Amino acid sequence: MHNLLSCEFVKLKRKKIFPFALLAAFVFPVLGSALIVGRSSTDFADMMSFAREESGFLLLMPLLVILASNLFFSEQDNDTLKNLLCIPVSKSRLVLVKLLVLLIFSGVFQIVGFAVSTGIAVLYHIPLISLPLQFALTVAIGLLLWAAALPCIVLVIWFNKSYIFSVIIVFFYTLLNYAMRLSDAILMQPLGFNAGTLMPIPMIFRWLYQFNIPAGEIQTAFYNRFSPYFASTSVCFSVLLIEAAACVILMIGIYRRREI
Amino acid sequence: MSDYIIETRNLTKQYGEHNSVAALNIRVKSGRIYGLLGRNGAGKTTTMKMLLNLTRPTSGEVYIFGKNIQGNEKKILPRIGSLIEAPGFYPNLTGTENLKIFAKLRGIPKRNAVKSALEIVGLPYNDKKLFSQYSLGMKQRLAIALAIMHDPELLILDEPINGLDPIGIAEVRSFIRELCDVRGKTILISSHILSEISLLVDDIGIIDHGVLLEEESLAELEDKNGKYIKFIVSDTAQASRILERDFGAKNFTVESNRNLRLYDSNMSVAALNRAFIENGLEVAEALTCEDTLEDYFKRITGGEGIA
Repeated sequence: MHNLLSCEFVKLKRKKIFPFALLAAFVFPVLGSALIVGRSSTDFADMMSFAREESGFLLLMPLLVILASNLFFSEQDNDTLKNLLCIPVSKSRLVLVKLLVLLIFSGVFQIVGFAVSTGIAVLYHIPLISLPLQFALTVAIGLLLWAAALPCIVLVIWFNKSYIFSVIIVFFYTLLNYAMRLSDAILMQPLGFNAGTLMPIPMIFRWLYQFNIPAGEIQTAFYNRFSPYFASTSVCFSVLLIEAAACVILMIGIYRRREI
Repeated sequence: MSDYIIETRNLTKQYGEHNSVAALNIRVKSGRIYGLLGRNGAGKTTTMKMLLNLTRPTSGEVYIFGKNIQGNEKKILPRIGSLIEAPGFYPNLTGTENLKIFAKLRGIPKRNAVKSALEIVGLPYNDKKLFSQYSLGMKQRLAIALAIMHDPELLILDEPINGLDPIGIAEVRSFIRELCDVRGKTILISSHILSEISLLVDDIGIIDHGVLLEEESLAELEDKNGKYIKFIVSDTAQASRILERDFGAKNFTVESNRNLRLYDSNMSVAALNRAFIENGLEVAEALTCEDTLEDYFKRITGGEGIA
């Protein structure tokens, strides 16, 4: 597995899509910091919120799906799958290692965002309050967003279409998830068989929001209204990881059934 | 223990209603080059994919090194080198980088395996040229290097000379021959180019529409290639009657209204010629001929020739 993983990274050599995708990790931390730094109530947690949520929900998740289509289609487009299977490398291991690459990318993307925000905070002498907690939340979001992207990656593999098709799928998936995160009707439902529990981004938001310290009347009112529907760490991780496991099994199944 | 390195038993692959390979029984002996000959679409590649477990058979079994490939892939596949269809490599990497990936995944212990494989096929080691910039011939050479890099006992090569120039073809041919003769490798090679097969292989299997029509050694096949006497006469109908009535011959074919072939080369051409002339026929030509492999291929496939 270690050899397979290191070979996956060698395969990325000279591929511009991965460094460009990583550069995207700078966008929201810089943008968010620019909006926040001048305000009277500048808060490190607000900066981190930009790095985690906007960057994660709007950039990282779609990037993961696009990178996944790149990783999975490259074997097909380059006709290299037959060479791997003749070694033999099992299809399930191949799927797992590609997902592991995506997980590592997700973690690195979030850590880069964290580093950029922290750097800007240091530059502007903003106190780094609860730094370990912020770091832990950032890394956790990397894991959860990877899990959140998997249903979309299943669709991409299932349809086995072009990159353009993947972009279309991910565009709608991201918009749908992000819109649900803003909807009270979706978020404020008890845990159960509903969109607020099963859709990844609303679930992540239900867990993540409890770590915010509300400022101002509107935020405080929303926090109080929303607090009964917060998801605990164990529930959030369990739901997302069970969904991830189901997606991984589906992906392996689809990949194994497909003949060369 | 089977005497054969490869043995298929009623190997069948169906795509919908279409039989791509039908009840195929091929047997490849150890230390020999077996040529699978057939037109494009005859089922050669599908057969090879099933041998390598890349495609599951609809029915039938594949035995390699005496073991069923199903369930023994991890033991069998590392002993095989293969080239199936077009060469498949990562376009953003150089040839050396590509081979290093596969060498690492194969766990090849030999340190200079990549370098020596590239040397054998005449490609430079650590060249900066990316695979995407390779010519078709270079790509094919790299694919052959990949197939031999781990020093396999068995090579399965699907149309290995595709894209090579005439000098490259001759080099690959002599290299494949050497692998078999000097290093004792068993090689299964497919081609739609009859002349190539006839120059290279020890045994031959002719496949058409997924069915194995013939399987024998090249020497046996050449012996079987019918000798015949070709006549160009003024009236083939009358000539046929003379052959049947006066010589009791039945094994002949009328190719056209002036062209007739008699597949009994032991008969006296002079006697036949005299009989035709005495019966008022004009004999423009009387030749003893031998079928080429292509003629034979045409005859047994009942259709057009092959390249």
